[in-house]
Amino acid sequence: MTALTPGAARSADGTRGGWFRPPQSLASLAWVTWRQHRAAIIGLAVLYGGLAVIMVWAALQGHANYTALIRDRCIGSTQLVRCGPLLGDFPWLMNTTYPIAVAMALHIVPLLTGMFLGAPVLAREFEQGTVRFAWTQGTSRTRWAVVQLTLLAIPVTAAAAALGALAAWSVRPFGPMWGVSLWRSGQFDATAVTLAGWTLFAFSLGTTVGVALRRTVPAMAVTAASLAGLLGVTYWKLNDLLLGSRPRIGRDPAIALQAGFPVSDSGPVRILDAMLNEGAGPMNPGPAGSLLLRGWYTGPDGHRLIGASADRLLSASQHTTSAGQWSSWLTRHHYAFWVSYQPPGRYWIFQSIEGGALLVLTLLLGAATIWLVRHRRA
Amino acid sequence: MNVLEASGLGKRYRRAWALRECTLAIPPGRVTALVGPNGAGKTTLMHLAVGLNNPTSGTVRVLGGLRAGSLEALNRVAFVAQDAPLYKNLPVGDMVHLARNLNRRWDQQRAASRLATLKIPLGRKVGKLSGGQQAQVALTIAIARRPDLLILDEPLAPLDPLARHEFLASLMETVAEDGISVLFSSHVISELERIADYLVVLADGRVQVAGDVEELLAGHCVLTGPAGQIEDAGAWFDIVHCRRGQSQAHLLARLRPAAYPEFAGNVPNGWQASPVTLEELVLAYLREPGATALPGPAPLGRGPVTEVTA
Repeated sequence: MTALTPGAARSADGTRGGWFRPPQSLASLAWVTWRQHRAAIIGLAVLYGGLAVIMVWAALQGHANYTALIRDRCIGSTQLVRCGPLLGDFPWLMNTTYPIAVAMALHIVPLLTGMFLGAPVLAREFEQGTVRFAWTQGTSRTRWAVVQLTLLAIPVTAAAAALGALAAWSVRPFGPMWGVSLWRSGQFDATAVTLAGWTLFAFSLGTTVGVALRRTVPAMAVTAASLAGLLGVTYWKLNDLLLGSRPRIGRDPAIALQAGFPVSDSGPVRILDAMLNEGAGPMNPGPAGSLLLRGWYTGPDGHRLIGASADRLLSASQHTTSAGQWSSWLTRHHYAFWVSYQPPGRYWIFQSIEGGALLVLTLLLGAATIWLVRHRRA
Repeated sequence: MNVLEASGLGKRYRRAWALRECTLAIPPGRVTALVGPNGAGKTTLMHLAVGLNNPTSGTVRVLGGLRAGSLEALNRVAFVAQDAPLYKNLPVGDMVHLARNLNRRWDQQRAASRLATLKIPLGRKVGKLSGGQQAQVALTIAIARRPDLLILDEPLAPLDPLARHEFLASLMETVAEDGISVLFSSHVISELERIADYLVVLADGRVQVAGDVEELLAGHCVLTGPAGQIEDAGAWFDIVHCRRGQSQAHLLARLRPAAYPEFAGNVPNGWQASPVTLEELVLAYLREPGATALPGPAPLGRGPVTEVTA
């Protein structure tokens, strides 16, 4: 602590010395913010650090193993004698559990940030009555709130962006191997852009709920519940709306067949649109890195197959045993398989749309929070 | 320059008015006691004065016209809220450092020496201190801000008699040293006389009494006389509160300002006047919420006569 020197005479009466310090620096409010919230910050840092360590470890192993698989031409190979030991080195690579687990784990990041950092920041001040202290010191309450919330928001957003980037790197071998696409709902919301957006949004939602409810535990519960709801709606619905992929499984036997569901004989085949909603990969032919939206067949006359002709084509497909055979059968008979897709170049555009929407929501919530801070009574 | 000026100030919470048509001017350099029963609007008035709350009607200004809650006002007004809210999970040293970082005006030496004198360990968490020590930490922070106006909401309530005595002693020391103005609310009427030199009584959201303690004491007396002749006393005095027994009546009475020139210390025949203590005066007004004593040409309400059956 620096010693204070009495400054110039204070005011009109001029009889007493003043104890002015230079205009408040950001550093002094930063210290206040850190000191008050360091437990939550450290807790979250440990958790996110743990996630990062796991992902780095998995990524190093996975990438090394993947390189070895390529070198020995073992990808998609059935030669168990030659490739078995190599495949066994890193069993995580053998299925899609890891990328799905990573995406799920990363969804916890905005949830916990909103719950344990965002919600208590202001709610606890109200609950413990300390707003009556904080708001009567020589700092305007707007400045107090804006600086504090900004100083907390920046590092958590940066940490989330880093985790998103790390996740993308660590699941990269799964793309070519299993067709795990970055377009998939879980992965799409856990990139450097979207995870940062969600985390920032979650934090500001927590602060708004906190200042509105003024009770810590209810604020945490409401924040967690609404975040879980919003993340769920985005996972199940909003992403499909954004990317233009509307699942139609179940309405159409042809689609059901394409997706591997049993087809009943009774249902009429109206269209042959195949809902793919999947990245291009070994299982789904299409431009690399794109999101396949729909597939359909055209006949020799160049028209889309519907009704009975589609039925006949599907019956024919029962006799082929592999994708390659099916493909050459189609070509021989002047049929073609078409796909509509989002090209890979649009990936970051859609990412920016989601991130931008979350940023706009964050700013709206921030404005609401500041308004409430200015108008709430202590 | 008045340290606090309220004009037509009112605050309504949902349907009930917590404070109503409050017009008040507290001169500088005073230690003002704000007294009133629970729910009279003391805390509301203080919260309005420090900007924690916005008025429903009217205005409140501090230190010669600063808008309550403005940054200039925040810089020069220190407030200790009821129960001295502090960050209980912080050690005292960090709590003080936090306050220092929230203020431009700050006297670190004063804070450090005051805590040392009070033997409050800097490393102990605020929540682990006794109520008296917490109040002292809050007062230390308020005083280290070198305020021109210090506002304390029920600072004595959580303190035991010894802590109360020490708290008041250290407060008065600072007042004497700095000549700052103090406004404090209190339930503890017995302590008022020792420290307050200006009195504001609130009742039911309205200002009932406001004035210099010396003037109030000089303008009031206790009259003792025959119970049947209360009307005689009414010629010179306004009766604030009347306690009537079988034969004798005790009146707490206020000399009518208009009667001053002729009065010259005479009391009606059969009556005896004795000086009033501040405690008696406050209690009398608290018992008669309808009576008022306000500066200026304000009318003095006449309280209903209460019967005391012996």
